[in-house]
Amino acid sequence: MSPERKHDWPTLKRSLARLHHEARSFLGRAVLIGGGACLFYRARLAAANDPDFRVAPLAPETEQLWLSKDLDFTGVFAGDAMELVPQFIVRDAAGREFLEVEGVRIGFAQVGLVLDPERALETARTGEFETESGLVEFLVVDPVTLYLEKQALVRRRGQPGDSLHLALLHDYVTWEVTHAAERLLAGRESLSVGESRHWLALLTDGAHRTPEIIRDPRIRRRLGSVEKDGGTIEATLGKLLELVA
Amino acid sequence: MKVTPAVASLRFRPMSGRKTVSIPDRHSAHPPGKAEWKTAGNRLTAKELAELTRDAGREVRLRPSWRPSLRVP
Repeated sequence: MSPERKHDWPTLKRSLARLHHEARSFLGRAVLIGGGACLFYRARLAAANDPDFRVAPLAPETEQLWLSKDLDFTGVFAGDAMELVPQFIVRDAAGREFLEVEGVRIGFAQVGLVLDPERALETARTGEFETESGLVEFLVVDPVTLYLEKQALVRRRGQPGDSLHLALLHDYVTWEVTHAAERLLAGRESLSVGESRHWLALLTDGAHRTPEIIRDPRIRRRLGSVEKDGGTIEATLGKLLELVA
Repeated sequence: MKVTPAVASLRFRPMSGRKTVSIPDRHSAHPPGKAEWKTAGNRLTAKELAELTRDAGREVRLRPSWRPSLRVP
């Protein structure tokens, strides 16, 4: 049996770019989840270059744990995907068919431990990156849903990669909540109604679903002026609610 | 043809009173582009939606809310 191939983010990007250029009907309805989505948010946090949320360099053996064996999607069944993109079907030695794009196997999961595919499609973000042949777009599961799924996976199976993913997603969601609160407090005039509502929903949703993140000391420090005025994070959320009402 | 809920997005800029519907080009069956209305309100009226559907040549459903685009290097 050949050793399992694992891929870094640049390799997964090549696969996504090929899907974007040759199989948009597939990429328009599939939502990226799993390790590929974690690598996406890791690249996003590193690019933010926020001094409070640095992506620390890792030892080579730990970096190996970040590699992903495939690109996993939800929202599409494997059989439907094979009809949409038959050019990517390959057969293994036992005759089993699967999809492979640029050397990366495509995987499908309909339901996670806490992930609901219909809800995942509603709340998915659009990921994008530039290539020589233009902008590549794809749907990626929102980071709070991915964080909660990883939290459940750590409890259920506890693989070393799961803990790494969870720690990164904790930092990513904390950074995004901080960033959202700062943008809303700075003035909503520059934001569309939809955008204001989105970021507010992230804050209120975070307060209910991920209270440990709302209590992160980095958020308190960054929103320190509100704290000094005798307020709390909860009071800040209330103030934001009034702002966008 | 089945249309996914993510087929188009609506942005409303209250300062200019302009609504823009963006139809992403990743939906290959749908002509990419934008349609604009300079009217108030952050929802499309039934008439506007019918107009957009007629121009697109197929049913158009708006995705449920604003969806952020996250760019990575």
